[in-house]
Amino acid sequence: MIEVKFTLSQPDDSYKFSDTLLLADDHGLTDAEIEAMKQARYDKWYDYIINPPPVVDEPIVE
Amino acid sequence: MANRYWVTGGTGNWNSTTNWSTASGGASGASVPGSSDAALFDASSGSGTATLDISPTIQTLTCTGFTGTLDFTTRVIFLNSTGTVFVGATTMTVAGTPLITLTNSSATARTITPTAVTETNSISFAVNAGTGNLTTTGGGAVRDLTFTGFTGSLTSTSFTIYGNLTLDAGMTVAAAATLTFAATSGTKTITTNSVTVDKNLTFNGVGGTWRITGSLTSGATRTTTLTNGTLNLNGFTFSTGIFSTSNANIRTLDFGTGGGIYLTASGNNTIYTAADSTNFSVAGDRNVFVTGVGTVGNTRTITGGQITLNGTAANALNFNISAGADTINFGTANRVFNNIQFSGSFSGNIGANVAPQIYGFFSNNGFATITGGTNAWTFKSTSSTNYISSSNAINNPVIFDGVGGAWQIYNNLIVNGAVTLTNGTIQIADGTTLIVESFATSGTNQKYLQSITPGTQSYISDASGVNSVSYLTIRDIIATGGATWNAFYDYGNINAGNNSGWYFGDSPTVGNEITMRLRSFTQPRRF
Repeated sequence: MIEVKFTLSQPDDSYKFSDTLLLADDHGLTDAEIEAMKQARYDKWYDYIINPPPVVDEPIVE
Repeated sequence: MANRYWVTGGTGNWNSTTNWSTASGGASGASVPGSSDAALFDASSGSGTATLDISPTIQTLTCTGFTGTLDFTTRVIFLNSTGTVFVGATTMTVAGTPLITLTNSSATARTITPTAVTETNSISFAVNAGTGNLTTTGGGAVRDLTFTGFTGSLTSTSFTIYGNLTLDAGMTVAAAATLTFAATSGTKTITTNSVTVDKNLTFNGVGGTWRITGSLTSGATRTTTLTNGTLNLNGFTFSTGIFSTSNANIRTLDFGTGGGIYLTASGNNTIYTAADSTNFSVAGDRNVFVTGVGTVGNTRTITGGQITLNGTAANALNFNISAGADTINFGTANRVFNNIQFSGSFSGNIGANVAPQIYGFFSNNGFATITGGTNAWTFKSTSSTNYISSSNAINNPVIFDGVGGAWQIYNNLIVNGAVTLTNGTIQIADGTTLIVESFATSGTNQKYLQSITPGTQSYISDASGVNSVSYLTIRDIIATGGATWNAFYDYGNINAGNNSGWYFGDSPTVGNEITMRLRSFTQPRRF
């Protein structure tokens, strides 16, 4: 398992996001694909922070 | 599917027909449960030990009423069915390295009912396949919970995890309910693979440590509570609606380097509280980003540690408030903060009569309107130079009180209140003006008022009245505005040069005494 730690932020250095990609040792991904995965992680988090989805609690199973 | 009941009297090994029966409490000799069978332990299974001498694959495992011990040694039980695949019992004991793996790859839902077992008797679960829902029955407790190759959903229940949590990047976690992390020893890891965990999170294990191995995101309406133990953010980003850690238990929040906490709640909420900071330790960057979009009329409260409840410089956090149009309330009691910064799109207010005790810097250039009040803001740095930069007037009294501390006031600053220097050094940026309602000093420690660059002057201004200081070394400061500025030598003041507008002579008391003595000396004596 390979850990790829990264930090991305907005151009003004705000909304800094630090995360890790966990990749298989033989992942076979290109650098561009890894960068795209990082950006996708950031975009998902940023959108969740900036535009929180409506809260729709699912019924709690007890 | 055939049922196989564990019965007493045999070898005690799983892979032995001497302990299996076709009926509860029945005669032994039935076949060892296989991949099409259900294994059951119950009240008739005795109080002895069942030892796993193989890693069996069965359909389901039920332990209701079992009072004995299930010794996993280093073996694994594989459950290949759907529906309720495991039912545990608080009456049983486990030994070895207890691990149950769920292998069914269908879209049919599965449920495990581990019951509210203790940490010692908890079992680890690995879910290696499947696309349907997985339910961990509410109130239950597991050791490790690991998802790999699972693309279904972990449903909405509240349960406890004593070990590690690992999520698969392809799965989802249903919103609502509470996950409680309750380990009491060792370091447990939380690996979400960027899966949103939209639940309340509680960390409550005396002596436990939890380290996140990547970002951890819960929802804007969720609360994270640190009750006991150490939460190590490990330099990653942790997002939650509210963070609460107000109690007297031993606990540590370790930010690591480069990450931080994002508080995303809006509405009327106390979004952070460490009001009771007794036994609360902080390590690492200590950066908290307040990004919830509060609306006009609402108040978000940030409750730093109350000084009377062990709020100190060591457990004060940095807060950067960058969104919202609401009121940010720092509390009217004396509560500690390190840096306070307003930035981004924030356009609201700082609440009335707040009394923050600020150990770091304060920055607010055009973002927050400071409502003001009679409670004082206190700048308390004791070791380093911090800055105060606010184009918005501070409408409270301000106290500078930190032995060894220094504050650089950038740009012009208006304080619509009394300014008191008790300990430390105030440096007014070269050529700029600190405008005060009054200026005084307190105590007998030597204090300093100066510009930043020696030889370049700056200003202090007050429109009226008399400002008398003591034990103050003044350099490069023009006192102006219409008030009288007294810095009498006999009050311990020192003119360090390049000042104007100050009266550095002897105080009237000394002057009158000298005059009286001179008159006494020159008057002829009468006999």
